[in-house]
Amino acid sequence: MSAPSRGRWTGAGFWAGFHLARNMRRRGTLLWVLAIPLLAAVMRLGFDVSREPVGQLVLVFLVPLMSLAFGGGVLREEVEDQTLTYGFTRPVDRAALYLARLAAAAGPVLLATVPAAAIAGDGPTASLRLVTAAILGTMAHTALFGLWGLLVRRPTWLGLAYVLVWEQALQNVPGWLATLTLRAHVRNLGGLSAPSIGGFAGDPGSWWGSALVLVGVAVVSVVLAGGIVRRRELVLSR
Amino acid sequence: MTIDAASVATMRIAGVTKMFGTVRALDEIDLELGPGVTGLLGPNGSGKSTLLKLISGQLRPDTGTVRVEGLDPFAQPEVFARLGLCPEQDKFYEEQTGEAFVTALTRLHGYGAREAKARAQAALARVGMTEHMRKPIRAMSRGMRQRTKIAQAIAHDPPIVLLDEPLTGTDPLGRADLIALVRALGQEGRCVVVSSHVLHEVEAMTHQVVLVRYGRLRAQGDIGRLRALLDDRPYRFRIEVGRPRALAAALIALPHVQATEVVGESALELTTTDLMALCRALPGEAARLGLVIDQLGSPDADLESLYRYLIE
Repeated sequence: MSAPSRGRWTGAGFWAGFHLARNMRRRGTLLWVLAIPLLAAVMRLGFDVSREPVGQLVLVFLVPLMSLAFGGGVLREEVEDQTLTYGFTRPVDRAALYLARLAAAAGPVLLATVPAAAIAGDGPTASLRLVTAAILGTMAHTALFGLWGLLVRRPTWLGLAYVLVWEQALQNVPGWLATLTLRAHVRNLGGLSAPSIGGFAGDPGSWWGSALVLVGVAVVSVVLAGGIVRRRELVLSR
Repeated sequence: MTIDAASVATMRIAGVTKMFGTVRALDEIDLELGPGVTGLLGPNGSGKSTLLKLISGQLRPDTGTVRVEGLDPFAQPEVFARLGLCPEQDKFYEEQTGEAFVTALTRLHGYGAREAKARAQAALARVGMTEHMRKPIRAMSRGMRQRTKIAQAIAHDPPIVLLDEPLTGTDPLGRADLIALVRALGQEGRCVVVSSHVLHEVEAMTHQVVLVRYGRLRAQGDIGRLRALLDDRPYRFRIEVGRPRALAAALIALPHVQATEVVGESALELTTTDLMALCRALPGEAARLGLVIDQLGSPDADLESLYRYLIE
Protein backbone atom coordinates (compact mmCIF):
# COMPACT_ATOMS: atom_id res chain seq x y z
CA MET A 1 0.00 0.00 0.00
CA SER A 2 1.41 3.38 -0.98
CA ALA A 3 2.10 6.27 1.35
CA PRO A 4 -0.47 9.04 1.37
CA SER A 5 0.25 12.39 -0.17
CA ARG A 6 0.10 14.87 2.68
CA GLY A 7 -0.58 18.54 2.40
CA ARG A 8 -2.96 20.73 4.35
CA TRP A 9 -5.14 21.14 1.27
CA THR A 10 -4.84 17.57 -0.01
CA GLY A 11 -8.26 16.02 -0.33
CA ALA A 12 -10.14 19.33 -0.51
CA GLY A 13 -10.89 18.88 -4.21
CA PHE A 14 -12.19 15.39 -3.59
CA TRP A 15 -14.30 16.67 -0.68
CA ALA A 16 -15.86 19.34 -2.91
CA GLY A 17 -16.77 16.69 -5.50
CA PHE A 18 -18.10 14.35 -2.83
CA HIS A 19 -20.43 17.00 -1.40
CA LEU A 20 -21.39 18.34 -4.83
CA ALA A 21 -22.55 14.83 -5.73
CA ARG A 22 -24.47 14.67 -2.44
CA ASN A 23 -26.07 18.07 -3.12
CA MET A 24 -27.06 17.02 -6.62
CA ARG A 25 -28.73 13.86 -5.35
CA ARG A 26 -30.93 15.86 -3.00
CA ARG A 27 -34.60 16.05 -3.75
CA GLY A 28 -35.34 19.31 -5.51
CA THR A 29 -31.78 20.17 -6.58
CA LEU A 30 -32.07 18.54 -9.98
CA LEU A 31 -35.44 20.20 -10.45
CA TRP A 32 -33.87 23.64 -9.94
CA VAL A 33 -30.97 22.79 -12.20
CA LEU A 34 -33.28 21.71 -15.02
CA ALA A 35 -36.17 24.11 -14.46
CA ILE A 36 -34.25 27.39 -14.47
CA PRO A 37 -32.53 27.02 -17.87
CA LEU A 38 -35.81 25.63 -19.20
CA LEU A 39 -37.69 28.66 -17.88
CA ALA A 40 -35.12 30.98 -19.51
CA ALA A 41 -35.45 29.07 -22.79
CA VAL A 42 -39.25 29.19 -22.74
CA MET A 43 -39.25 32.92 -22.00
CA ARG A 44 -36.65 33.77 -24.64
CA LEU A 45 -37.64 31.37 -27.41
CA GLY A 46 -41.26 30.54 -26.67
CA PHE A 47 -42.54 33.97 -25.69
CA ASP A 48 -39.85 36.10 -27.29
CA VAL A 49 -39.11 37.90 -24.04
CA SER A 50 -36.09 40.16 -24.43
CA ARG A 51 -32.66 39.71 -22.84
CA GLU A 52 -33.27 42.36 -20.17
CA PRO A 53 -36.14 40.78 -18.13
CA VAL A 54 -34.78 37.26 -18.48
CA GLY A 55 -31.30 38.42 -17.45
CA GLN A 56 -32.76 40.38 -14.51
CA LEU A 57 -34.73 37.32 -13.39
CA VAL A 58 -31.69 35.07 -13.48
CA LEU A 59 -29.03 37.43 -12.14
CA VAL A 60 -30.95 39.67 -9.78
CA PHE A 61 -33.49 37.23 -8.42
CA LEU A 62 -32.35 33.62 -8.85
CA VAL A 63 -28.60 33.96 -8.28
CA PRO A 64 -28.96 35.54 -4.80
CA LEU A 65 -31.84 33.34 -3.67
CA MET A 66 -30.26 30.09 -4.84
CA SER A 67 -26.93 31.15 -3.36
CA LEU A 68 -28.71 31.76 -0.08
CA ALA A 69 -30.51 28.42 -0.22
CA PHE A 70 -27.35 26.43 -0.92
CA GLY A 71 -24.63 28.58 0.65
CA GLY A 72 -26.31 29.82 3.82
CA GLY A 73 -26.18 26.45 5.54
CA VAL A 74 -22.82 25.37 4.23
CA LEU A 75 -21.52 24.04 7.55
CA ARG A 76 -24.59 24.51 9.72
CA GLU A 77 -26.24 21.54 8.08
CA GLU A 78 -23.30 19.32 9.03
CA VAL A 79 -23.33 20.75 12.55
CA GLU A 80 -27.03 19.93 12.88
CA ASP A 81 -26.55 16.49 11.30
CA GLN A 82 -23.55 15.97 13.61
CA THR A 83 -21.42 14.77 10.70
CA LEU A 84 -18.90 17.60 10.79
CA THR A 85 -16.66 15.57 13.12
CA TYR A 86 -15.77 13.20 10.30
CA GLY A 87 -14.24 15.87 8.08
CA PHE A 88 -12.83 18.09 10.80
CA THR A 89 -10.75 15.32 12.38
CA ARG A 90 -8.89 14.59 9.14
CA PRO A 91 -5.47 15.97 8.19
CA VAL A 92 -6.87 18.69 5.97
CA ASP A 93 -6.92 22.36 6.85
CA ARG A 94 -10.38 23.29 8.11
CA ALA A 95 -10.40 26.33 5.83
CA ALA A 96 -9.80 24.01 2.87
CA LEU A 97 -12.70 21.81 3.93
CA TYR A 98 -14.89 24.89 4.29
CA LEU A 99 -13.91 26.10 0.82
CA ALA A 100 -14.66 22.63 -0.56
CA ARG A 101 -18.12 22.69 1.01
CA LEU A 102 -18.68 26.20 -0.35
CA ALA A 103 -17.71 25.07 -3.85
CA ALA A 104 -20.09 22.14 -3.51
CA ALA A 105 -22.84 24.58 -2.49
CA ALA A 106 -22.10 26.88 -5.41
CA GLY A 107 -22.17 23.97 -7.87
CA PRO A 108 -25.96 23.58 -8.23
CA VAL A 109 -26.39 27.37 -8.38
CA LEU A 110 -23.91 27.57 -11.25
CA LEU A 111 -25.41 24.57 -13.00
CA ALA A 112 -28.81 26.26 -12.92
CA THR A 113 -27.94 29.89 -13.58
CA VAL A 114 -25.02 29.73 -16.02
CA PRO A 115 -26.99 27.96 -18.80
CA ALA A 116 -29.96 30.23 -18.09
CA ALA A 117 -27.71 33.29 -18.37
CA ALA A 118 -26.26 31.98 -21.63
CA ILE A 119 -29.76 31.46 -23.02
CA ALA A 120 -30.83 34.94 -21.92
CA GLY A 121 -28.16 36.65 -24.05
CA ASP A 122 -29.02 37.88 -27.52
CA GLY A 123 -25.60 37.22 -28.98
CA PRO A 124 -22.25 35.73 -27.99
CA THR A 125 -20.96 38.91 -26.34
CA ALA A 126 -24.13 39.52 -24.36
CA SER A 127 -24.29 35.86 -23.34
CA LEU A 128 -20.65 35.94 -22.24
CA ARG A 129 -21.28 39.01 -20.09
CA LEU A 130 -24.36 37.43 -18.53
CA VAL A 131 -22.52 34.16 -17.88
CA THR A 132 -19.59 36.00 -16.29
CA ALA A 133 -22.04 37.92 -14.12
CA ALA A 134 -23.77 34.68 -13.11
CA ILE A 135 -20.45 33.05 -12.15
CA LEU A 136 -19.04 35.98 -10.21
CA GLY A 137 -22.45 36.81 -8.71
CA THR A 138 -22.80 33.24 -7.48
CA MET A 139 -19.28 33.27 -6.04
CA ALA A 140 -19.85 36.53 -4.18
CA HIS A 141 -23.32 35.68 -2.88
CA THR A 142 -22.47 32.11 -1.87
CA ALA A 143 -19.31 33.21 -0.07
CA LEU A 144 -21.12 36.05 1.70
CA PHE A 145 -24.04 33.88 2.80
CA GLY A 146 -21.65 31.11 3.78
CA LEU A 147 -19.88 33.57 6.08
CA TRP A 148 -23.17 34.68 7.57
CA GLY A 149 -24.04 31.05 8.16
CA LEU A 150 -21.03 30.85 10.46
CA LEU A 151 -21.96 34.01 12.31
CA VAL A 152 -25.70 33.74 12.89
CA ARG A 153 -27.98 30.87 13.79
CA ARG A 154 -30.55 31.59 11.09
CA PRO A 155 -28.72 32.89 8.03
CA THR A 156 -31.76 32.37 5.82
CA TRP A 157 -33.72 35.17 7.47
CA LEU A 158 -30.75 37.51 7.42
CA GLY A 159 -30.10 36.61 3.79
CA LEU A 160 -33.70 37.16 2.78
CA ALA A 161 -33.72 40.52 4.55
CA TYR A 162 -30.49 41.40 2.75
CA VAL A 163 -31.74 40.39 -0.70
CA LEU A 164 -35.33 41.52 -0.47
CA VAL A 165 -35.04 44.58 1.76
CA TRP A 166 -31.52 45.98 1.82
CA GLU A 167 -30.57 45.46 -1.80
CA GLN A 168 -34.08 46.20 -3.02
CA ALA A 169 -34.20 49.49 -1.12
CA LEU A 170 -30.68 50.61 -1.94
CA GLN A 171 -30.96 49.96 -5.65
CA ASN A 172 -33.61 52.66 -5.83
CA VAL A 173 -31.53 55.29 -4.09
CA PRO A 174 -30.00 57.69 -6.61
CA GLY A 175 -26.26 58.17 -6.52
CA TRP A 176 -23.41 56.05 -5.22
CA LEU A 177 -25.40 54.26 -2.48
CA ALA A 178 -26.74 51.80 -5.02
CA THR A 179 -23.18 50.64 -5.64
CA LEU A 180 -23.16 49.21 -2.11
CA THR A 181 -25.32 46.37 -3.36
CA LEU A 182 -24.02 43.23 -5.01
CA ARG A 183 -26.93 43.39 -7.39
CA ALA A 184 -25.71 46.69 -8.91
CA HIS A 185 -22.39 45.09 -9.77
CA VAL A 186 -23.96 41.88 -11.07
CA ARG A 187 -26.22 43.98 -13.33
CA ASN A 188 -23.33 46.13 -14.48
CA LEU A 189 -21.21 43.10 -15.27
CA GLY A 190 -24.06 41.44 -17.13
CA GLY A 191 -24.81 44.57 -19.15
CA LEU A 192 -28.25 44.96 -17.63
CA SER A 193 -29.82 48.28 -16.80
CA ALA A 194 -30.37 49.52 -13.27
CA PRO A 195 -33.70 50.99 -12.13
CA SER A 196 -33.71 54.77 -12.01
CA ILE A 197 -35.81 57.22 -10.05
CA GLY A 198 -36.31 60.55 -11.75
CA GLY A 199 -33.71 59.63 -14.31
CA PHE A 200 -30.98 59.21 -11.67
CA ALA A 201 -29.49 55.74 -11.56
CA GLY A 202 -26.48 54.73 -9.51
CA ASP A 203 -23.39 54.30 -11.61
CA PRO A 204 -21.36 51.28 -10.50
CA GLY A 205 -18.54 52.26 -12.86
CA SER A 206 -16.74 50.04 -15.31
CA TRP A 207 -17.60 46.34 -15.77
CA TRP A 208 -14.17 45.25 -14.63
CA GLY A 209 -14.56 47.39 -11.52
CA SER A 210 -17.76 45.48 -10.78
CA ALA A 211 -15.96 42.20 -11.45
CA LEU A 212 -13.29 43.26 -8.98
CA VAL A 213 -15.92 44.11 -6.35
CA LEU A 214 -17.63 40.71 -6.71
CA VAL A 215 -14.34 38.80 -6.60
CA GLY A 216 -13.26 40.93 -3.65
CA VAL A 217 -16.45 40.19 -1.71
CA ALA A 218 -15.99 36.48 -2.41
CA VAL A 219 -12.32 36.43 -1.40
CA VAL A 220 -12.78 38.50 1.76
CA SER A 221 -15.78 36.41 2.81
CA VAL A 222 -13.89 33.15 2.27
CA VAL A 223 -10.80 34.40 4.10
CA LEU A 224 -12.87 35.59 7.08
CA ALA A 225 -14.88 32.35 7.13
CA GLY A 226 -11.69 30.28 6.89
CA GLY A 227 -10.29 32.13 9.91
CA ILE A 228 -13.49 31.45 11.83
CA VAL A 229 -13.61 27.71 11.10
CA ARG A 230 -9.93 27.34 11.98
CA ARG A 231 -10.45 28.91 15.40
CA ARG A 232 -13.92 27.70 16.26
CA GLU A 233 -14.50 24.75 18.56
CA LEU A 234 -16.49 21.89 17.13
CA VAL A 235 -19.62 21.85 19.25
CA LEU A 236 -22.33 19.85 17.53
CA SER A 237 -25.99 20.39 18.29
CA ARG A 238 -27.83 17.60 20.08
CA MET B 1 -0.45 -3.98 10.99
CA THR B 2 2.12 -3.18 13.68
CA ILE B 3 3.28 0.24 14.68
CA ASP B 4 6.97 1.08 14.70
CA ALA B 5 8.15 1.40 18.32
CA ALA B 6 9.83 4.70 17.48
CA SER B 7 6.50 6.24 16.66
CA VAL B 8 4.76 5.20 19.87
CA ALA B 9 1.91 7.54 20.65
CA THR B 10 1.69 9.53 23.84
CA MET B 11 -0.92 11.90 25.10
CA ARG B 12 -0.33 14.33 27.91
CA ILE B 13 -3.13 16.25 29.54
CA ALA B 14 -2.02 18.69 32.20
CA GLY B 15 -4.28 20.74 34.47
CA VAL B 16 -7.10 20.75 31.96
CA THR B 17 -10.37 22.44 32.80
CA LYS B 18 -13.19 22.79 30.30
CA MET B 19 -16.31 24.83 30.89
CA PHE B 20 -19.53 24.90 28.87
CA GLY B 21 -21.15 28.10 30.08
CA THR B 22 -21.42 27.62 33.81
CA VAL B 23 -21.04 23.83 33.62
CA ARG B 24 -17.59 22.52 34.49
CA ALA B 25 -17.30 19.55 32.13
CA LEU B 26 -13.71 18.80 33.12
CA ASP B 27 -11.95 19.97 36.23
CA GLU B 28 -8.15 20.00 36.58
CA ILE B 29 -7.50 16.78 34.72
CA ASP B 30 -3.94 15.45 34.66
CA LEU B 31 -3.38 12.36 32.59
CA GLU B 32 -0.71 10.59 30.57
CA LEU B 33 -1.54 7.81 28.17
CA GLY B 34 0.78 5.58 26.20
CA PRO B 35 0.49 2.51 23.98
CA GLY B 36 -2.07 -0.16 24.72
CA VAL B 37 -5.75 0.01 25.51
CA THR B 38 -6.98 2.41 28.18
CA GLY B 39 -10.57 2.30 29.33
CA LEU B 40 -12.08 5.69 30.02
CA LEU B 41 -14.83 5.02 32.49
CA GLY B 42 -17.57 7.08 33.97
CA PRO B 43 -21.31 7.45 33.95
CA ASN B 44 -23.09 9.48 31.30
CA GLY B 45 -22.26 13.15 31.62
CA SER B 46 -19.06 12.53 33.56
CA GLY B 47 -16.83 14.23 30.99
CA LYS B 48 -15.53 11.24 29.00
CA SER B 49 -16.64 12.55 25.62
CA THR B 50 -15.38 16.04 26.40
CA LEU B 51 -11.99 14.56 27.22
CA LEU B 52 -11.93 12.65 23.93
CA LYS B 53 -12.96 15.80 22.06
CA LEU B 54 -10.05 17.65 23.62
CA ILE B 55 -7.63 14.89 22.66
CA SER B 56 -9.05 14.74 19.14
CA GLY B 57 -8.68 18.49 18.66
CA GLN B 58 -12.35 19.34 18.46
CA LEU B 59 -12.32 21.45 21.61
CA ARG B 60 -9.76 23.65 23.32
CA PRO B 61 -9.19 23.55 27.08
CA ASP B 62 -10.04 26.68 29.07
CA THR B 63 -6.98 26.11 31.22
CA GLY B 64 -4.16 23.59 31.03
CA THR B 65 -2.63 21.89 28.04
CA VAL B 66 -3.38 18.90 25.86
CA ARG B 67 -0.54 17.40 23.87
CA VAL B 68 -0.73 14.53 21.44
CA GLU B 69 2.74 13.40 20.42
CA GLY B 70 3.97 16.75 21.66
CA LEU B 71 1.53 18.81 19.58
CA ASP B 72 -1.51 20.82 20.53
CA PRO B 73 -4.20 18.78 18.74
CA PHE B 74 -6.72 21.59 18.25
CA ALA B 75 -7.50 21.77 14.51
CA GLN B 76 -4.07 20.26 13.91
CA PRO B 77 -3.75 18.27 10.67
CA GLU B 78 -0.42 16.73 11.78
CA VAL B 79 -2.20 15.12 14.72
CA PHE B 80 -5.23 14.09 12.69
CA ALA B 81 -2.98 12.23 10.26
CA ARG B 82 -2.05 9.88 13.11
CA LEU B 83 -5.38 9.71 14.87
CA GLY B 84 -8.56 7.75 14.26
CA LEU B 85 -11.76 8.78 16.00
CA CYS B 86 -14.97 6.84 16.36
CA PRO B 87 -17.34 9.54 17.60
CA GLU B 88 -20.15 8.88 20.02
CA GLN B 89 -23.00 10.12 17.84
CA ASP B 90 -24.78 7.66 15.54
CA LYS B 91 -24.58 10.05 12.58
CA PHE B 92 -23.48 9.43 9.00
CA TYR B 93 -23.94 10.55 5.43
CA GLU B 94 -26.91 8.24 5.40
CA GLU B 95 -27.31 7.82 1.64
CA GLN B 96 -23.76 6.50 1.26
CA THR B 97 -22.88 2.82 1.39
CA GLY B 98 -20.54 1.76 4.17
CA GLU B 99 -17.77 1.26 1.64
CA ALA B 100 -18.27 4.66 0.00
CA PHE B 101 -18.43 6.38 3.39
CA VAL B 102 -15.20 4.87 4.70
CA THR B 103 -13.46 5.34 1.33
CA ALA B 104 -14.43 9.02 1.21
CA LEU B 105 -13.09 9.70 4.69
CA THR B 106 -9.91 7.74 3.98
CA ARG B 107 -9.31 9.85 0.87
CA LEU B 108 -9.06 12.89 3.14
CA HIS B 109 -5.85 11.31 4.46
CA GLY B 110 -4.28 11.87 1.07
CA TYR B 111 -4.78 8.43 -0.44
CA GLY B 112 -5.75 8.02 -4.06
CA ALA B 113 -9.12 6.53 -4.99
CA ARG B 114 -7.89 2.95 -5.42
CA GLU B 115 -5.72 2.96 -2.31
CA ALA B 116 -8.46 4.52 -0.18
CA LYS B 117 -10.96 1.94 -1.40
CA ALA B 118 -8.59 -0.94 -0.64
CA ARG B 119 -7.98 0.44 2.84
CA ALA B 120 -11.70 0.95 3.41
CA GLN B 121 -12.44 -2.62 2.37
CA ALA B 122 -9.67 -3.94 4.63
CA ALA B 123 -10.97 -1.93 7.59
CA LEU B 124 -14.55 -3.01 6.95
CA ALA B 125 -13.39 -6.61 6.75
CA ARG B 126 -11.60 -6.17 10.06
CA VAL B 127 -14.83 -5.10 11.75
CA GLY B 128 -16.76 -7.92 10.08
CA MET B 129 -18.65 -5.78 7.58
CA THR B 130 -17.49 -7.24 4.25
CA GLU B 131 -20.86 -8.80 3.57
CA HIS B 132 -22.82 -5.62 4.29
CA MET B 133 -20.44 -2.88 3.14
CA ARG B 134 -22.40 -2.12 -0.04
CA LYS B 135 -25.63 -1.48 1.83
CA PRO B 136 -26.72 2.15 2.22
CA ILE B 137 -25.94 3.22 5.77
CA ARG B 138 -29.57 4.22 6.31
CA ALA B 139 -30.53 0.55 5.81
CA MET B 140 -27.99 -0.78 8.32
CA SER B 141 -28.72 -2.03 11.82
CA ARG B 142 -27.29 -0.10 14.75
CA GLY B 143 -24.58 -2.69 15.17
CA MET B 144 -23.53 -2.43 11.52
CA ARG B 145 -23.46 1.34 11.75
CA GLN B 146 -21.27 1.10 14.81
CA ARG B 147 -18.86 -1.22 13.00
CA THR B 148 -18.77 1.12 10.00
CA LYS B 149 -17.95 3.99 12.31
CA ILE B 150 -15.07 2.02 13.80
CA ALA B 151 -13.85 1.09 10.30
CA GLN B 152 -13.54 4.75 9.30
CA ALA B 153 -11.43 5.31 12.43
CA ILE B 154 -8.89 2.59 11.60
CA ALA B 155 -8.83 2.55 7.78
CA HIS B 156 -5.81 4.88 7.61
CA ASP B 157 -3.90 2.70 10.11
CA PRO B 158 -3.48 5.34 12.83
CA PRO B 159 -1.22 4.85 15.84
CA ILE B 160 -3.80 6.61 18.03
CA VAL B 161 -7.37 5.33 18.11
CA LEU B 162 -10.11 7.02 20.13
CA LEU B 163 -13.34 5.08 20.47
CA ASP B 164 -16.25 6.82 22.14
CA GLU B 165 -18.76 4.23 23.38
CA PRO B 166 -17.88 1.85 20.51
CA LEU B 167 -20.03 -1.05 21.65
CA THR B 168 -23.31 0.85 21.82
CA GLY B 169 -26.06 -0.96 19.96
CA THR B 170 -24.05 -4.07 19.15
CA ASP B 171 -25.41 -7.56 19.73
CA PRO B 172 -23.56 -9.96 22.07
CA LEU B 173 -21.68 -11.70 19.26
CA GLY B 174 -20.77 -8.45 17.62
CA ARG B 175 -19.66 -7.09 20.97
CA ALA B 176 -17.31 -10.02 21.48
CA ASP B 177 -15.79 -9.43 18.03
CA LEU B 178 -15.30 -5.73 18.66
CA ILE B 179 -13.80 -6.39 22.09
CA ALA B 180 -11.31 -8.73 20.41
CA LEU B 181 -10.60 -6.06 17.78
CA VAL B 182 -9.91 -3.40 20.42
CA ARG B 183 -7.58 -5.74 22.25
CA ALA B 184 -5.79 -6.52 18.99
CA LEU B 185 -5.39 -2.81 18.21
CA GLY B 186 -3.76 -2.37 21.60
CA GLN B 187 -1.52 -5.39 21.11
CA GLU B 188 -0.31 -3.90 17.84
CA GLY B 189 1.21 -1.07 19.88
CA ARG B 190 -1.40 1.56 19.20
CA CYS B 191 -2.56 3.98 21.84
CA VAL B 192 -6.24 3.08 22.10
CA VAL B 193 -8.63 4.97 24.36
CA VAL B 194 -12.08 3.45 24.76
CA SER B 195 -14.77 5.31 26.63
CA SER B 196 -17.70 3.49 28.11
CA HIS B 197 -20.08 3.47 30.99
CA VAL B 198 -20.53 -0.29 30.67
CA LEU B 199 -17.90 -1.54 33.00
CA HIS B 200 -17.73 -5.22 32.24
CA GLU B 201 -17.18 -4.41 28.57
CA VAL B 202 -14.19 -2.25 29.38
CA GLU B 203 -12.90 -4.89 31.76
CA ALA B 204 -12.99 -7.36 28.87
CA MET B 205 -10.86 -5.03 26.75
CA THR B 206 -8.27 -3.81 29.20
CA HIS B 207 -7.08 -3.63 32.77
CA GLN B 208 -5.80 -0.07 32.34
CA VAL B 209 -8.57 2.26 33.34
CA VAL B 210 -9.18 5.93 33.98
CA LEU B 211 -12.22 6.78 36.05
CA VAL B 212 -13.92 10.14 35.72
CA ARG B 213 -16.91 11.50 37.55
CA TYR B 214 -18.31 15.05 37.57
CA GLY B 215 -15.44 16.05 35.29
CA ARG B 216 -12.77 15.00 37.76
CA LEU B 217 -10.26 12.21 37.52
CA ARG B 218 -11.11 9.77 40.29
CA ALA B 219 -8.51 7.09 39.66
CA GLN B 220 -6.12 5.82 37.05
CA GLY B 221 -4.12 2.66 36.61
CA ASP B 222 -4.36 -1.09 36.59
CA ILE B 223 -7.60 -2.43 38.00
CA GLY B 224 -5.68 -4.74 40.34
CA ARG B 225 -3.55 -1.90 41.67
CA LEU B 226 -6.61 0.26 42.13
CA ARG B 227 -8.19 -2.58 44.00
CA ALA B 228 -5.16 -2.72 46.30
CA LEU B 229 -5.66 0.93 47.12
CA LEU B 230 -9.06 -0.01 48.42
CA ASP B 231 -7.93 -2.64 50.86
CA ASP B 232 -8.85 -0.50 53.81
CA ARG B 233 -12.32 0.09 52.40
CA PRO B 234 -15.23 -2.12 53.52
CA TYR B 235 -15.62 -5.17 51.32
CA ARG B 236 -18.96 -6.82 50.64
CA PHE B 237 -19.26 -10.59 50.72
CA ARG B 238 -22.18 -12.85 49.88
CA ILE B 239 -22.68 -16.27 51.44
CA GLU B 240 -25.36 -18.71 50.33
CA VAL B 241 -26.19 -21.00 53.21
CA GLY B 242 -29.16 -22.94 54.65
CA ARG B 243 -29.71 -20.89 57.84
CA PRO B 244 -28.39 -17.44 57.07
CA ARG B 245 -29.74 -15.84 60.26
CA ALA B 246 -27.71 -18.15 62.48
CA LEU B 247 -24.53 -17.55 60.54
CA ALA B 248 -25.17 -13.79 60.48
CA ALA B 249 -25.51 -13.75 64.27
CA ALA B 250 -22.20 -15.59 64.63
CA LEU B 251 -20.28 -13.47 62.12
CA ILE B 252 -21.42 -10.07 63.40
CA ALA B 253 -19.53 -10.87 66.58
CA LEU B 254 -16.24 -10.85 64.67
CA PRO B 255 -14.37 -7.54 65.12
CA HIS B 256 -13.78 -6.94 61.39
CA VAL B 257 -17.39 -7.56 60.34
CA GLN B 258 -19.20 -4.25 60.22
CA ALA B 259 -22.68 -5.30 59.10
CA THR B 260 -24.70 -8.30 58.05
CA GLU B 261 -27.89 -8.51 56.07
CA VAL B 262 -30.00 -11.59 55.47
CA VAL B 263 -31.12 -11.81 51.85
CA GLY B 264 -34.15 -14.04 51.42
CA GLU B 265 -34.17 -17.49 53.03
CA SER B 266 -30.81 -18.75 51.87
CA ALA B 267 -28.23 -15.98 51.67
CA LEU B 268 -26.59 -13.26 53.65
CA GLU B 269 -24.42 -10.34 52.69
CA LEU B 270 -21.92 -8.83 55.04
CA THR B 271 -19.42 -6.01 55.05
CA THR B 272 -15.92 -6.64 56.34
CA THR B 273 -12.79 -4.54 56.65
CA ASP B 274 -10.53 -7.61 56.53
CA LEU B 275 -11.38 -10.07 53.83
CA MET B 276 -8.57 -12.49 54.69
CA ALA B 277 -9.61 -12.67 58.34
CA LEU B 278 -13.17 -13.42 57.25
CA CYS B 279 -11.98 -16.21 54.98
CA ARG B 280 -10.02 -17.74 57.85
CA ALA B 281 -12.89 -17.51 60.34
CA LEU B 282 -15.79 -18.54 58.10
CA PRO B 283 -15.16 -22.32 57.82
CA GLY B 284 -14.87 -22.69 61.60
CA GLU B 285 -18.05 -20.72 62.31
CA ALA B 286 -19.99 -22.71 59.69
CA ALA B 287 -18.71 -26.03 61.09
CA ARG B 288 -19.56 -24.99 64.66
CA LEU B 289 -23.17 -24.27 63.59
CA GLY B 290 -23.39 -27.39 61.41
CA LEU B 291 -24.00 -25.37 58.28
CA VAL B 292 -23.03 -26.20 54.71
CA ILE B 293 -21.99 -23.22 52.65
CA ASP B 294 -23.46 -23.52 49.16
CA GLN B 295 -21.74 -20.61 47.51
CA LEU B 296 -19.36 -17.78 48.31
CA GLY B 297 -18.81 -14.67 46.33
CA SER B 298 -18.29 -10.98 46.37
CA PRO B 299 -20.29 -8.45 44.46
CA ASP B 300 -17.16 -6.34 44.89
CA ALA B 301 -14.98 -8.60 42.79
CA ASP B 302 -15.49 -6.81 39.50
CA LEU B 303 -14.83 -3.36 38.16
CA GLU B 304 -18.38 -2.32 38.95
CA SER B 305 -17.66 -2.21 42.65
CA LEU B 306 -14.37 -0.45 42.19
CA TYR B 307 -16.16 2.11 40.11
CA ARG B 308 -18.89 2.51 42.71
CA TYR B 309 -16.38 2.91 45.53
CA LEU B 310 -14.46 5.55 43.70
CA ILE B 311 -17.29 7.66 42.44
CA GLU B 312 -19.59 7.69 45.42
